[in-house]
Amino acid sequence: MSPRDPLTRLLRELPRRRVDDAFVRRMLDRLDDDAPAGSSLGRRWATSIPRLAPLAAGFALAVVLATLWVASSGSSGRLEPSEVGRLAAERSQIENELEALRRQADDTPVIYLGGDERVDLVLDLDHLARSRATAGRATDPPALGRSRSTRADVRPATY
Amino acid sequence: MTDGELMAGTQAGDRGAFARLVERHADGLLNYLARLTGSPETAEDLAQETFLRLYRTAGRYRETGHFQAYLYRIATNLARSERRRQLRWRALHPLLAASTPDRAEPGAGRRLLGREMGEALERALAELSPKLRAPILLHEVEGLAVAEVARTLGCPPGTVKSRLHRARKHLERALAPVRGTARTDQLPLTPATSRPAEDIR
Repeated sequence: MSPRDPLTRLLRELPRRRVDDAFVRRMLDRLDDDAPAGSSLGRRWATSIPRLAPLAAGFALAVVLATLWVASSGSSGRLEPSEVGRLAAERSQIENELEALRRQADDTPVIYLGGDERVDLVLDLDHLARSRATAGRATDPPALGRSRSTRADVRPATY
Repeated sequence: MTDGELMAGTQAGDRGAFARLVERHADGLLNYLARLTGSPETAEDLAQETFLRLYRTAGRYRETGHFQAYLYRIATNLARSERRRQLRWRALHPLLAASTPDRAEPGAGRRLLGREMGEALERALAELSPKLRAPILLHEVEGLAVAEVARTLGCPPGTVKSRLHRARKHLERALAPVRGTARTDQLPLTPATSRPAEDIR
């Protein structure tokens, strides 16, 4: 990729985060809490117990929350208006996030056709759709054995 | 010493060799994770966890000349797990979930790139989905070759190139309004902080 490409230059000029001077020391200190590299079954037990603990804690927390929720809804019989409003706002936020995810998934794909060291051919379906709309052509299915894509729709990718 | 030689030392229990590996790759790894996750704090934790996992599983490593892809693959998988964990917590109880911002924070690069351009680029990068952000960070910022990016992400090189193309389109579209007011060839240039061009294909 050419370093003269403006976008590449800009990306390379972004600030780089660096670890602090004590990072390596902290890593080595953490190794002291672990078994030696490449050791055997005993280490697997030693490392799996800490991994299970957060899961167990999460499960216990979920049980406590569920119990509290059941207790609170049982005692009042129904939700307070403020609670309803809060739940509605949360639902709206989740719906917005899901919609944003769906929009991302709907992005028109780009298909890589092949290439060599210097040139890559990429079929940009978004560009294809736009160029067809501009030319006012109907979206007829292509004839069998013959592509309707124009040279403009299959173009070299620049990196 | 090469990465392969340092890993061989690590496998033999040489902590000095492991420390040199950490020194060599910590900055790049932290930089990648910080932009991938959008949180410097999470990135620091993930970077430490990556090196710990590398050390713990050193016995399973087989030198093939692609150590960097191996290391970044561990980091990417940890970042994905962390993201899934955060999404589960958010779904379980939004108020309990840590308010980890899902966007990269604008940094000092604004001074170097030109304030508007730097902010626009940081914002545009943060808007990319992780699926598109990862390849552009690995290839354009960290300087891994496309084949190495493919090994890191566990997908074919063609897929990496498609994602790079889509990511670049998004970034160029986001920068177009700013480019109208500032010429990129007149922006102040900093000393090169990433790899020379011949390492990037």
